[in-house]
Amino acid sequence: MSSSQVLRFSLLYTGLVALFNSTLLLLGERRVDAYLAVNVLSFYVSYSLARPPTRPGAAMTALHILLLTLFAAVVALRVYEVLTG
Amino acid sequence: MNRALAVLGVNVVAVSVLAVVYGLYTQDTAILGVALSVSLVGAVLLVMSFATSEAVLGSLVEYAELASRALTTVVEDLDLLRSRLLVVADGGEVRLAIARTPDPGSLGTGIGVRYGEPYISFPAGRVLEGAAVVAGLDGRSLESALSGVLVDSLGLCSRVVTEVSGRLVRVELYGISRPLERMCGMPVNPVNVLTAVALARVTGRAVALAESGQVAGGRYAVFEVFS
Repeated sequence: MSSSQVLRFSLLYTGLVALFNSTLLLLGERRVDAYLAVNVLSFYVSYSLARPPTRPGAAMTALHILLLTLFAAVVALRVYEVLTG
Repeated sequence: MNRALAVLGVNVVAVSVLAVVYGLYTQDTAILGVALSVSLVGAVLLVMSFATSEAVLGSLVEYAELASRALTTVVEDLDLLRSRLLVVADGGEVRLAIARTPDPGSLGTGIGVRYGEPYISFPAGRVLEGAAVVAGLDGRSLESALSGVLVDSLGLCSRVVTEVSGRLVRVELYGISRPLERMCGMPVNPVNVLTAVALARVTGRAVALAESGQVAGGRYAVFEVFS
């Protein structure tokens, strides 16, 4: 049922997340937003490389909105922290 | 929908929720970070299971619509809109015909005129060749065989109900695949054609589409089965 592109995307995405999560954990990273931001980046890297065939619809739009909002919120929080010293 | 991916997504979310609870309980933000990241993976997999489609499916659906439109145009030009869709087993070969003639076995392949009536006839080739054949017109075994072809092999619909009354077989299809459902308004559509070929294959007899229409949640077609 699943196409090879969907399989490739799933393997790439879960592989990247596992790799980055392990690395951050071993580096002693304790900020929750760091894990989430790297996850969102992993998603878009995997999505661009594997190009899974998706149907245009509310589900994919909602996913993109969720991920981009999450990433923007994390970045905004960090910028705010830097600016406020 | 990709069911395997959906099950995987739900399981990943379920496990990650437990990890989030553990992270909150122990006040360990590293565990919480990993758990939230994993729950995001689960959510992504779940959404992808609904949003992805077989890469070639889109092309095939578009091609099927073009083919249906081409055939419908020919049917209209030949004034065959009030004709019947027939599936004829001619020796080892199965042929589809759109004609008004009561004797479908006498039709040659191609577009022609027989007894003053135009017809279109073309071979089914290897379409649904491996379908299980049932002996006789028993409602239950017919329903099971048609479900095997239309639901399990083709994914044309999610449920098949058959009712046999003498030489007439009423086939009801529920949960028809959305891309195919959109073509059901055409005189020659993939749902009727595939159901007719499947019925001819499983009964091993010639069939003619007598009537078709909509029922709540699906479509029905009544076929006359020739002995």
